[in-house]
Amino acid sequence: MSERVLLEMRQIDKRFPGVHALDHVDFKVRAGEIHALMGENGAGKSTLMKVLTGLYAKDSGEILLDGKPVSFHSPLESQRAGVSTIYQEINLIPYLSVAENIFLGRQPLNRTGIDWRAMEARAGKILAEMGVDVDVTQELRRCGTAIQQMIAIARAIFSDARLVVMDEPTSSLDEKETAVLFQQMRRLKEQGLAIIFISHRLDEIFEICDTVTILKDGKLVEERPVERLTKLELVSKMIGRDASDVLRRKNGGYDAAGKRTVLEARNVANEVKLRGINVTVRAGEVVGLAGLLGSGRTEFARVAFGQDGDYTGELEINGQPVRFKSPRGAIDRGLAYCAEDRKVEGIFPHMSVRENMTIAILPKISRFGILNAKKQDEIVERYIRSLNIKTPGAGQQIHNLSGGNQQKVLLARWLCMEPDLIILDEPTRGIDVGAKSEIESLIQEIAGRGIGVLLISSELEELVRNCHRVVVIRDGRNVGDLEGGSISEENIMERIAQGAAKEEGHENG
Amino acid sequence: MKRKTMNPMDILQKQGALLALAVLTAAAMIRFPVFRQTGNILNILRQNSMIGIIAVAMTLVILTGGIDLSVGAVTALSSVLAASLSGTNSPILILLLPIAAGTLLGFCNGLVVTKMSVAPFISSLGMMMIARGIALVITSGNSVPMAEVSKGWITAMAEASLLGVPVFILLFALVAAAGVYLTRKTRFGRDIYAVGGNEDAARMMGIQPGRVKIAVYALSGFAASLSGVLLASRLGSGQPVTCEGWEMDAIAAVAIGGTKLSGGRGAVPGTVFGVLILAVIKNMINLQGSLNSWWQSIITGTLLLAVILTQVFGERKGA
Repeated sequence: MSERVLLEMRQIDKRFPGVHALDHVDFKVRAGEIHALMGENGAGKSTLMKVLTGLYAKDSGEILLDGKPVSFHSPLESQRAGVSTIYQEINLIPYLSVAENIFLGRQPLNRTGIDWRAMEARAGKILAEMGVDVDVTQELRRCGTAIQQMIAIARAIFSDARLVVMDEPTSSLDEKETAVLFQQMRRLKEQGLAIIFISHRLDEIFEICDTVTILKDGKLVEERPVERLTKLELVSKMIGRDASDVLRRKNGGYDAAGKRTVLEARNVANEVKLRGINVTVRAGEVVGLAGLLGSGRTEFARVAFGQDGDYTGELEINGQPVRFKSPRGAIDRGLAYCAEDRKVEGIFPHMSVRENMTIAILPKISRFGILNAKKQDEIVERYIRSLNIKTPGAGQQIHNLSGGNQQKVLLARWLCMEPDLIILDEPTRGIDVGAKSEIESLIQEIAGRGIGVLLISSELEELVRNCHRVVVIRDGRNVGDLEGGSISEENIMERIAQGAAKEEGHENG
Repeated sequence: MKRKTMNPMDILQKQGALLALAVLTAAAMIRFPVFRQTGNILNILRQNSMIGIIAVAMTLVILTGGIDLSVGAVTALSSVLAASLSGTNSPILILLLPIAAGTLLGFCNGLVVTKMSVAPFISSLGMMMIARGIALVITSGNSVPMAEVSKGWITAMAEASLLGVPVFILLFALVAAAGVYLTRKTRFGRDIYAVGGNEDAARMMGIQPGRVKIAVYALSGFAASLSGVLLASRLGSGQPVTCEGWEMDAIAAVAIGGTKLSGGRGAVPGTVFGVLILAVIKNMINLQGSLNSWWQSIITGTLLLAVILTQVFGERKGA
């Protein structure tokens, strides 16, 4: 890392109606460093980056790139100046080929126009270097999420960038893919590029970053080299309170005696991913479903919830065999499912918090098709209070809320149906540490009320903190079952790894 | 690198229009000996070249996720303008001014869609009524005959041939070729797909969706008014009330050609096949004699729905 300052943002100020989003923030990035930008959601990270890339206009302050004052009015202008961005939500074009998505806007040209052959050859080479094995001529939408994220990264870093902004690039990657990304990041760093890295995964910050800048409520808290910072210090600075209890294990023990079984899955398999999954969840129990991305976690949840009808094996709810053809049937039997991708499968962005929360129980609170508005308001107010949802009012459109609060509204939607079993698929993905901690407390509270919880998460520490029992799956089948004190990150990883070894052994034999 | 695998559904989606055209043409050739005559085939092509030119540009608009309902009215207006200006006997005024006017209308349409965020359906519906209204006001609702000074050379244009191929057909071929080149080999052409595929992502990638859209609406206006000039040349007059429903025929041709109406996916050759499919169906009904021409509408509609259903089914399979 050199001491040459590549980017300097001075006294950046930005107000939105009712919010002081950035309050005279100073931010400095040196050439050849990976700089973490940390803060809770709403702290101003994204706003600061949008001011940098020209998506937002700043109210005051100045930006110096390589010592020269710059002012970008669009992403195009900042890209031309060498500032490249990878967004948290994958921003690619589904119907264009992989190669085009990497080169769109700067396709190699020959005398007659776009040189498709050269473009595809270069794209293939770039992705091969990144360890991504994919046909570059196929449509992007045919690629999985992780591959798409790698393609977005390839697009950003193989431009003539001097500064790469990465806004939660790892949120949809598994460990191996994250490792590949980090390898690429180190390579870029050696070439003298600067990287601004935003992630909610603290481990990643300590693994890959050189410097951390922490924002809170639109103000700069501190800039400090990573080696002089502990995890706990970082968290407490981000949330601005004593963090000693933030990362603590939340649940007590679980006594199975006398509790009824709410979900029993035996040998659930389908033609796509699942090769025989066995899961039991009892009333008031939090059961984790651990495994790598693509191991069949979400697929199992979808089958259990009646979203994917074709499967073999048996499912029992409250002791009765069931075979759901649609989520409607599952809901009627007391199941709830908070999907992984809340934007796609969860929220109605332009509807109010009130409507989003009660949409599934409208028949219950209506009479002769007419809605009982008083009852609706009662329920909505109760959950806004009990889940501590931060919203100006129940009439607020949900897309104006932060990710964590949107997630809480979704939780409330399912809770007000009073389910027996709730499946939570990555409930804390993409939300900040403070909100995460609140959601985790909620999980315990839900279980405390006697509801069974099936928790799917890629974050092992989340499983360790929250679960009474963890079922580890790999390649669509069970490879381990951990309980109580034996639940630890090491044990989970070991089960996943052993599952792999067993399989190889099987193939060799 | 993994190799691609083509599933049959993909092929049906991508090449369905060409297959349908081949089957229809073969059927027509077997059933109607007259169909095979060069004269008949050239006639079909010539009659449909105007709608073909419009449909090629419509493809670009639809690829961005938009729609242009004004094209029929702009074609009529352009024919009226050409006829009204025929007294000047100036080729530049008679041929280029209507085209410039049509392009300008398309440009304005694009401005309303982008700068004022009006839905393309509404914006172009308004533009359609305005263009039709202007055409009617200029002519008081009557057809405008070409002035004698220029009528000779203007109508001769419609009959002219190059190497035995009517000029109209050559123009259609030229526009189609330009459309193919634009969408395959230029960055602007690929930006069209990007904007239609995911506008936000396109913006993040440094593409300016507004400019791309304004350009395609201007091109659509250009194509419609070019057709209008050709129409005036063929009829020897300007007609304020013609071309009603051309926008729908053009959209149908684009859809039958496999371009998705939500944008981002499709191609110009498909549209050309779509235009020809509609043309062959029409010709077959004419040659058949006993079916009246309303049947054309029923057959076209059925075909259109069949194509859309294939797309929907293919999407599901692919997902």
